[in-house]
Amino acid sequence: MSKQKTKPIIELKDTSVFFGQDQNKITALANISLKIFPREFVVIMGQSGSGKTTLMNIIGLLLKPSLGKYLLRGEQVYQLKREKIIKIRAKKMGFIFQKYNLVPHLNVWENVMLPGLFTHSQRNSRKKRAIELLQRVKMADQSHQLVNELSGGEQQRVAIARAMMLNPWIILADEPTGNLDTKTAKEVMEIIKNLNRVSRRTIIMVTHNPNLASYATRKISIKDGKVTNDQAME
Amino acid sequence: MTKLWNKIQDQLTIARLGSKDFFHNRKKYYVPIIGVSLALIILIVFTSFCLGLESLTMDYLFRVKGVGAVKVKKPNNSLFEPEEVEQILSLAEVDKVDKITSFPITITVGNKKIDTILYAEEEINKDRQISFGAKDKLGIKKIKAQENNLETVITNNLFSELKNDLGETEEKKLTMEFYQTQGENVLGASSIETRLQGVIADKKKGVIVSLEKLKQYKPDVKPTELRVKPKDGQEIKLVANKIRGMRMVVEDNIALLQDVKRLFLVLKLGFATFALISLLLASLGVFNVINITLVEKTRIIALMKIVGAKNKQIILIFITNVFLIVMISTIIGLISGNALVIAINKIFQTLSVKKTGMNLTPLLMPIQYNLIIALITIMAGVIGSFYPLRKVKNIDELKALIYE
Repeated sequence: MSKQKTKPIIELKDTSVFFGQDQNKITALANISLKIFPREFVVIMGQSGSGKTTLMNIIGLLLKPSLGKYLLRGEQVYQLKREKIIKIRAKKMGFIFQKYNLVPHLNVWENVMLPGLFTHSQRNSRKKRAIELLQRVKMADQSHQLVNELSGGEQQRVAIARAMMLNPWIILADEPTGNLDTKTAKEVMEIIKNLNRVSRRTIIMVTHNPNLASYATRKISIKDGKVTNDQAME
Repeated sequence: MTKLWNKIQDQLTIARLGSKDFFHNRKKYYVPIIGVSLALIILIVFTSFCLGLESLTMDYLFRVKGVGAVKVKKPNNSLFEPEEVEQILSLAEVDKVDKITSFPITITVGNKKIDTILYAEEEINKDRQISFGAKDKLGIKKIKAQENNLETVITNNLFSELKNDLGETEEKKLTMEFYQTQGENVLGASSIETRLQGVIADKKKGVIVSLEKLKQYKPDVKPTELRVKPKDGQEIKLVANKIRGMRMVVEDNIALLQDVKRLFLVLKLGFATFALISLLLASLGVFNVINITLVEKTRIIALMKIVGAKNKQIILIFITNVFLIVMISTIIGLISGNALVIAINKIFQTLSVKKTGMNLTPLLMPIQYNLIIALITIMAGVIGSFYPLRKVKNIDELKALIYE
């Protein structure tokens, strides 16, 4: 893949994030500039409090930067109206969380269908898509089971299927294996890797586990709100 | 059109997800459900008693004072001929005509005499078909039924009066009962064989028997007074004026009727206020539970927003919960409340009718009252949840991650 010829899917220019005011002002991110290209698998690494989650929140349209620019496919999304931002986020970003964040009283099928339901995607294609995704994450047999009856690994697979429901451009994963044992973590990482390799999704994953960096095509290290290292892994 | 139908189906699916949430967390909703149901039960029972009291009062005033009716007499208190009754019926738009016949009688209690009037009515309540008695005008505080001597004197005297007047008596079938009604000493009689009770007797009205009974003794009896009840919605004054045009002596008691109606309007408004306060408290319960639920579900709400839920879609989920709370409460409240009214009614009928003949029993509310109450309850619930649900839009999606 030639980065020079491909336009970045995400671009941050001198982006800073501050929390608090005046004397209590804390710099969470300082003048970050980076480009993320389509189909990249980027792992953002750093210690607790380094600013990696803040960076992911900006990329995921959850936190407006205090300074600098954020461009999604060349568009300054944070300048749009909130409703528009929400719409873009729902359709173009898929989220995978450490604690799965599934709706406990709904079954596997309903959890996967949620994004399609809320965004009024075509009912027939929605069903088809959900079946296909559940088969892909090997959860089709348990589609009518309540999610709180599933194991951690199974729940994370459901969360991955949900994140893929609207066929987003980017999958954002925040410590997706943080709550899983090594074997299950590996299974989950294989699924995420396949999303990148087979489904050609751009993956941005935040983790402090260095072992997971091997799945990525690029590693960005952050310390004290600054990018300290940005290297290709292939 | 397909797109719209698709959206409607999606909203229904979202509402169904809300109902799943409700049943999943149902234990949390028991308290508001019980609260709203109790408020409704109290409201229904009180309203039913109010309706019962109104009915009893109107019935009493209609019978005793002629309120709500037009009393018609002929000049010089002469008797009505059948064709005159028909003429009144044809002139005025009337619901029914009570034909009342009266005779002066004297009842002797011990060595004292009570002057009263024997009334016969055609449309009298079945429970008092053969009832007669005399108000204790002599200041006798309590007359005991066990006083055989007294009982005999009264019975003998009363029936000798009746015998003289009617030519016959059912003396052997009758026993006397004495009791107090609403603080007044009343002397009455009842027929044990027919299980019919009686009490109506006061200074003006005297003793009442049924016209049907009277006709057994006097087949050609003619009424001395007619009581005309206008049809629903018909102005009493209009009916009274039409009859006055026939040169009859007419008494319409409109002023008293209006006073009574005003009194019951105040009473009903009082109950309505009470009901609204109860429902307000109930809606506070809903407000509270929804408030707590919102706090508990902050993460889920934030997550739903992240996966694309709009505020109104999230509100729909919670509104479904609120709707289910109030619907279940309303069904429980209305069924239990009305069942309780029926039970109280049965108990009161068993206890009080036989003793007094004037019974305050709650009346079952008409179906439209039930529907209004259901509607108000649902509205109170929804309004109760409106304020906390406004907070949904303030829940930040980031919270889904912060709570990680």
